[in-house]
Amino acid sequence: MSTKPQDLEALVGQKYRHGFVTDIESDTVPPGLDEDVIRLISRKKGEPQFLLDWRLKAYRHWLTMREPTWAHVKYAPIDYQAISYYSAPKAKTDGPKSLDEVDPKLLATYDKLGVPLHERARLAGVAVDAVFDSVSVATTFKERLAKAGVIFCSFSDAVRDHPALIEQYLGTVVPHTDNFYAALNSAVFTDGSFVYVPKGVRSPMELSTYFRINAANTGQFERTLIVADEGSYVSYLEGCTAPQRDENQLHAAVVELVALADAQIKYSTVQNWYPGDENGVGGIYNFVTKRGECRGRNSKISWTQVETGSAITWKYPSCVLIGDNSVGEFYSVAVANNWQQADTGTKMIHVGRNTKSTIVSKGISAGHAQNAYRGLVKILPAAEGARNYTQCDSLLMGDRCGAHTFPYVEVRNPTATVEHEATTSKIGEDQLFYCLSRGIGAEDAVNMIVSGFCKEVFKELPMEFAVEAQNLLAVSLEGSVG
Amino acid sequence: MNVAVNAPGPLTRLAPALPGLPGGAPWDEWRGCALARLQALGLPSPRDEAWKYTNLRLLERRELAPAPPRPVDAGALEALVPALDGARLVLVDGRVAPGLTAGVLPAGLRVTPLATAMATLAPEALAGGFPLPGDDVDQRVRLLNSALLTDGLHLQVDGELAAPLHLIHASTGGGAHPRVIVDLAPHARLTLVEHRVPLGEAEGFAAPATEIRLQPGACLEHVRVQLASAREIVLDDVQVQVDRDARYVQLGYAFGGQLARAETRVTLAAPGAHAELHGLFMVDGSRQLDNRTLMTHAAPRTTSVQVFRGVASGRARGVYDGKIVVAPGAAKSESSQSSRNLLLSPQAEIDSRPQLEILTDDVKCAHGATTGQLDEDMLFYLLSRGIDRATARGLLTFAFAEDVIAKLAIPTLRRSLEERVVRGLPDAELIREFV
Repeated sequence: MSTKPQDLEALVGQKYRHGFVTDIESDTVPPGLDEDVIRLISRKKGEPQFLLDWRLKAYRHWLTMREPTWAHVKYAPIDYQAISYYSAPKAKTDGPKSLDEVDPKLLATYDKLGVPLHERARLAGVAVDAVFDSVSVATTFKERLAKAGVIFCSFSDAVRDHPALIEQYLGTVVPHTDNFYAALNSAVFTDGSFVYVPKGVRSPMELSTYFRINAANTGQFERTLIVADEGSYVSYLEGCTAPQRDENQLHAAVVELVALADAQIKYSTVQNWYPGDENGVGGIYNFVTKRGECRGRNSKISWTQVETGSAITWKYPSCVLIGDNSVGEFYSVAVANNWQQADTGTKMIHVGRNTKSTIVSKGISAGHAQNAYRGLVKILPAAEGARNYTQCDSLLMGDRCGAHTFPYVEVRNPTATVEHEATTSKIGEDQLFYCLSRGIGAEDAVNMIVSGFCKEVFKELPMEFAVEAQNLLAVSLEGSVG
Repeated sequence: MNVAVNAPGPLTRLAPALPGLPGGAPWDEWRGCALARLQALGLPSPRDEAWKYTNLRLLERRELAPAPPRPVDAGALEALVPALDGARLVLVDGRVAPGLTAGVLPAGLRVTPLATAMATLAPEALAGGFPLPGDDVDQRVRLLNSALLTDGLHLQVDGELAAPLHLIHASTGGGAHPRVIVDLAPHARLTLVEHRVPLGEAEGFAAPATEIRLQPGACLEHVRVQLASAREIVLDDVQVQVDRDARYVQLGYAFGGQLARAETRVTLAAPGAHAELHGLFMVDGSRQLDNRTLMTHAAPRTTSVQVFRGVASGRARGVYDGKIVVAPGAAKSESSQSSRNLLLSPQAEIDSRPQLEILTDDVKCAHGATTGQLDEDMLFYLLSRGIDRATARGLLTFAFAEDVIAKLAIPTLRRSLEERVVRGLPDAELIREFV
């Protein structure tokens, strides 16, 4: 019933489909980091004084920090002075007024990626704030969102147009002192997205952003801030692809979510950055800090992620459940193939009464990959009646990969109920045999079984992402089991 | 002037304690080497992932150096531990106390006190070699034990021993650093019962290290009852090597200690090796009990089971931190881990960390952890039968602990542990009627 080894290698060794580099002029500062570089970034972006002060404060704190080593990943040391911290597509005039003025090469890039920018954008019903190498070049559907009162723009625009909101919320969920990479991001972040949903407003459409890492040697430091005011609802989609590179690129983003009373934020990610080749050369280092605060009563934050890319993934989308009755959710599928390493999971910190959290994590390892779930559930003494349910399952394909589970359960209130379950297994021989005996090919059978394994997570994704995620999964794992 | 900076840490105070410990020059050198390595590493801090949940501030001012020999009255000891069939060996503050030994050593058991043997044998020649711990895992407790090694026992078993061997660790205060080595020949069988009891209420510190080696087909049932005083710190370190078709079963019952941390590392080294760790910890006051396990499946077709039950009340803290590692190539291994915890008061805390590190695919591994309070439905059932709330809660807590106590095959020991649990519950008199 097994496939021949050479078939497997051919299938596993599929080339990364999104590997291409757009050749456009970039305005890049020389590699290295000091206070002058930070001042330069801030000046280039025309930032107000408070933001520059904040960046410098973060930078000075970063200098005192040590790079963390506790994650279950191995990589060569990163030279932070070899990275160029700013790269922007050259301003031709004062910036494009419409899509016609946008660099056609840029648009072609989006075409290849399938970003629905012009007509396709309307058909897909998605507003795209496409981030291209750190500077936002086009934003669509602004009017429709503006009519509803929703602010959805690049971080730079938000700094210019809504400085009060930025000053009020920036760094309140992930402070500039939070961790090594968050501090670095706070010092040098170049752009990102900003969303503000006013009181009682339900965002009229799903919001989505595509991140791309394009110029060589420019680590991307994105900063996303989403604020859902009382009683509002927003669903935010983030999808990532990157061109093929032979050297490792650092990506240290920060995402902050704030949900006030009765507000809901749904944050979905499909991450498919370049994972390195079959020998483990190249690929993205994805060291991301994502955190949401349920500040008001009955608020809810839901993270859904499908992680198939990056050489190293190191991220823990977290929920701090402060408001009474607030809800945190985390649904994740993490796939690691070839030499990929993933150390990912979540943190659910219960502060308020009757707070609830659900964690469903599915890890799939193949080839030589190492896939770890690391999750913290912390019940503080005030979290009367808090409830957590955690389930993390791992699927192993092949005898050279690894699947790890590192849960941390800290309970300080006796009325809380916390449950954690985990299993690790390989694809059931019986299930495979059943499919084969019904005339289904080995590849399709594996896909079917893996889809079933991940179903609980996929059903949480918005429709268009669910389809993309299914395809991604099939491509990432083809031929991994014989 | 900052006093804290200038105050000598517990490690810097140790050097004067080293001369005068048993053994000749080779042992002095061996101990010096261990101390130098430990000083280079420093004592653990909460920043170390493996010590994250352990409160180490207590250690700062504790006297770690070995206590001087003190006479002990046999009667005082007998009041503290149940009488078992079989021979009894006693270590007082980590030193063998021949005067307290009782019963006849069975045929097939050879007992060598280490201090005596150290006088004539170099580290390489004693008990099949006495290597210093490696750097693969955090073994600072074992290094500390090595640096201050005072005495201990080498137990060699050949044949099936019917009666349990009773080993008592008694403490009178001060430091205790014994080493116990247990060697089971092929197909040998032993039940080893270890009791840790305090003689008095003096401040104490113990870092005992145990080394267990099971040859093919051997079987060891290892019962450990920890009843240290509320002024003692115990950092216990057990290392087990299980060969082909051998079987290691540990039944651990931890009740005492101001801070008691028990670490058990098991290596299932050959096909068919099997290990079980059953643990119960009950902690109250503002004390801390910390349980750590590392179960390494190093060979194919090895199996392991871990079942831990924890109860914390008052302002106490209980920890279960267990890890299963399935090495590459250890196919067809099966492993399970269950950690269930009961919080009985609003200020108590339980931290549970059941970890899996799986490096091959053809395995079955599962773990589960729950932390919560007593089941409302069960409470309601008892209340509806006319039992008051306090007694009902006591009964259910007893039943929770009984899960692990019932594993004991020695009736006297089981009864003494049940009594220990009941004594700690409210309405002990009433509960006795039920159980």
